[in-house]
Amino acid sequence: METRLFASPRPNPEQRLLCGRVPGGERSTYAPRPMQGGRSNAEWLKDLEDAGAAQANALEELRAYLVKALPGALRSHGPLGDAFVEDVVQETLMRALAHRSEFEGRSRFTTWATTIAVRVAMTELRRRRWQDVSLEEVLEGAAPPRSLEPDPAASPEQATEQRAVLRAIEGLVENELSERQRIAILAELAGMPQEEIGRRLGITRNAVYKLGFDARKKLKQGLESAGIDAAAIRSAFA
Amino acid sequence: MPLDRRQIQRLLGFVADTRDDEIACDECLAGMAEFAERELEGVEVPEALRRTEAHLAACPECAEEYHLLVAVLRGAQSPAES
Repeated sequence: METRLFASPRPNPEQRLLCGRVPGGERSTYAPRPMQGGRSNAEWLKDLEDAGAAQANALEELRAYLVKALPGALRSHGPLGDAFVEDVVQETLMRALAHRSEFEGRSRFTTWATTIAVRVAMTELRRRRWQDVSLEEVLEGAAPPRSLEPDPAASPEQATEQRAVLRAIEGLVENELSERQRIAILAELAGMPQEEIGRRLGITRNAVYKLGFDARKKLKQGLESAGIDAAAIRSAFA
Repeated sequence: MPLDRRQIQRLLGFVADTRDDEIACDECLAGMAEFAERELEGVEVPEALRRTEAHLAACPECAEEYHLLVAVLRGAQSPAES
C-alpha cells in the first residue's frame, strides 16, 4: 500500500492516542452494535493482527468505509479534493493499525477509527489555515485588558460588580500567570487553535490545554480570594 | 489592541466553568466514539462519559472534531450516502 504523509510533523510515537480508554475507570454497559452487514469488533481486531491477506482485506475495507464516509462531512470545510481525503485515510489506517491495542470495544471499531480520521483531518486543516500566522501577530492583538469599563447598559449596581471583576481579572492575568500560561490563554482567546499554539511553542495540544487549565484554575482561585466566586462572575455579566 | 469585552466575558465564562476534574483533549478523544454512538442512538450517557461531555462543551477544537465525527456517522447511516 502506498504511504502518503502530510508535510506536518509526525506525531510523537511515545504519545498514546488514548482512543479507547475512557478516564474515570467506570466500565459502561453499552454494547456497540456492528454495522449492518459489517464485521464485528472482534473480527476487525483478529484480522488486523494477521500479517497476511486478512489484514490487507481489513485495511482495504476500512479504507473504503472512510473514503466513502468522510467527503460528505468534510464538505462544509470547503473544496478539499480527493487527495486530501486519501491522505487523511492513509494516515488514519497507519495510526489505527499502530494503536489497535488501545481499542477497548466501547464503540464500533469503525467509529473509533473515524475519531482518528477527524482528528487527522482537522489537525491538517488548522495547520493550513494558520500556517502563515505567527504567535507574535496573534498576541499583538490580544494584550491583557487595560481599564476595560463596564457595559454601558448595565445598571449602577451591576456596573460596580463588573468593574470589580474586570479590575481583578486584569491584575490576575498580568501578575499571577506564568508567561506560557498567559500566552496559551491570550492566543486561544484570539482564536488560535491549541494545536497551532502548541506547534509554535514546541509542545503538544494536550500540554497547551493543561497550560490553559492551570491558568484558569489560578484565575478562579485569585478571584475567589478577592471574594468573587463563579456565581458572582455570572451575576455580574448576566 | 487589548482584548475586547466579548473576549473578556468569554475568559470569565471559562474561569467560572473551570472544574478541578477536567480532562484534556486526548482523554476526551478516548470517550468520543462511545459518546457519539450513544447520542446518535439516544442511549443514556454514563457517569464515566460526563467529563467527556463537559470537555466537549468547553473545548472548541474537540467540539469541532466531535461535530465532524457525528456528521460522518450520520452520513454513513444515510441511505443517500450508501
